Amino acid sequence: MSLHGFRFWGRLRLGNQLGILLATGAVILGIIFYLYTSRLQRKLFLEGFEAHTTALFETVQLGLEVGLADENFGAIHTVFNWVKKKDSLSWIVLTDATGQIFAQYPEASFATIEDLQKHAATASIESRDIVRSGKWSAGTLKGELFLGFSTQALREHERRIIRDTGLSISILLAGILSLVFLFSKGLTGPLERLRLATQRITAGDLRARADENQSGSIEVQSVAHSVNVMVGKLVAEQEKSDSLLLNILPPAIAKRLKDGESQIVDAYESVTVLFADIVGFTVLASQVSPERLVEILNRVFTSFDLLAEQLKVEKVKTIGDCYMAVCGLPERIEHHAETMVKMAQQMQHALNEVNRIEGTALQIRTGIHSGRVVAGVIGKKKFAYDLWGDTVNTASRMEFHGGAGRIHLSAATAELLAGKFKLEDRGEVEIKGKGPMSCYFLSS
Amino acid sequence: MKSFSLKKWIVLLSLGPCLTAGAQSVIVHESNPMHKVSRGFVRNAFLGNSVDWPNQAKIQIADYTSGFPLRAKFSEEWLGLSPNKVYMLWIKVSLSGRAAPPRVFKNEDEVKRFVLDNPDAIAYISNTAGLPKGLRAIEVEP
Repeated sequence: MSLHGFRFWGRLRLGNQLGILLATGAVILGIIFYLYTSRLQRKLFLEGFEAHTTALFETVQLGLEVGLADENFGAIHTVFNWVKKKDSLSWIVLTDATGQIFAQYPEASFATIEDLQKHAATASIESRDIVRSGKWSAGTLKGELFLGFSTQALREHERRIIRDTGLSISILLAGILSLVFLFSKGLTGPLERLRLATQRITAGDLRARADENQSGSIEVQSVAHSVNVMVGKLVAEQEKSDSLLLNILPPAIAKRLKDGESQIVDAYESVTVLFADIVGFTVLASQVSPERLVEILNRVFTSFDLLAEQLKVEKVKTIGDCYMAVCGLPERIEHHAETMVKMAQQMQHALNEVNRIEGTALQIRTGIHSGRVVAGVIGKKKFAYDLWGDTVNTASRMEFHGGAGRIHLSAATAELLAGKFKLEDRGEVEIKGKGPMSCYFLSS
Repeated sequence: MKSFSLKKWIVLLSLGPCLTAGAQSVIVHESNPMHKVSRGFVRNAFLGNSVDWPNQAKIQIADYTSGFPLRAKFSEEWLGLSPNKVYMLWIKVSLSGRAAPPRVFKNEDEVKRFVLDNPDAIAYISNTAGLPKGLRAIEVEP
């Protein structure tokens, strides 16, 4: 086989390789079987033909002898009639004591005895006919009996052998090839299905599973089981990873990152940003252990997180004892200002509950402002979803210039609330780095 | 030889054919419609050349075994062939199948019985004396 042939063979699937090998073997066996059976059948038929012609000749010779002995021409006539009906008989010739032909059937088969002798010399199983001969006698009369047997039947039989054997072997081969196909399919089918399953898994479809209960060898079933166990672990790990990612990123942003986006920066025309700072945290820090402090802080922020989840507010981050959240992104929400104010109110209630449980007297100073921001994920490491823009700074300033236990709003947010909440107008307030701004407290 | 006069020779020679030809009589079944046949017809029938009676019935021939003296005489006088020649001719007829081969009997009684049983049979006997009822000699024209 050439190098090209080897490459071609190597590119074939296992099932095809197996099928070709088995089919080739079957064809070779078929040819050998065909040759053997043809030769055997020919040999048997030749033997049968020999026996048949010998028996016919001997019957005629005996019939002639007996008939002549009794001068029973009727019996002789019957014997001749009987043999003449045989398909294999070509001709009959009787010669007299001088060796000359005196009777023959069909008439004029041979003009002279020389013609007959010449024909008999060349007659063989391979020629048109074969000749059997023997003596006959009746009293003083005697001569020779010749019977010619056609080999046409033999040749027809040979043709029939070739046709029938060829047909039988073709049917046999078709059967064997079908079995080979089914066998190779049965053997490689499970492997092929396993290959397709792993291909889907490799392509990222972790819902794909290898069929462990399919018919096939135990080895294939074992591999399928191992693949499924592996995929199960992979799925569990991915779920952990996804869960972790969703903790630090909004689901829509996490999906975009997983889908391959490396830098996500989106502009939002109108969102509401909240800053909430725990008042008295520094004093508390000096009164309790750091562990206790973190425990209390965790309880507070966890309750805020729950609220954010319920109200579809996006927690952005915590900065020390300050909690930052935004409403209106990444999914755009129409009443973001209203939702964020509700969030602020509920945060106050949540803190009161923590105070009741923990025996503390914490308060939060909340600032809210609405406006345009840019949000996204930048950088390669320790990335986080963050907001940028003046709206963020202004919201922070609102918190800074607010009061303990109060919710301080900018004019932009107040305007968006459209009278749905009762507000306390603070008038122009000098905001650090911004100058005088109209500010409002949410009435208690 | 002197006592045998020329007159006697002439008489003897003129009667010779009649005596020899008349040494055998051709017989048939009484029901056979033929009452007169030619000598050629008899010859052809016994040589297998004629197979049918004029009424299309198949001729059935009765003959004698080789050693029977009447057969040799009939072969030579009626058929003009030696008994062996006739014998081989019948082998030939048996082979060709063109005519029904003769039935061969050991004596005249058996021949008569055969003809009596077969209305289409033809045979020859040494003389017609004592011919049983149901058989009759057929006139043969020279």
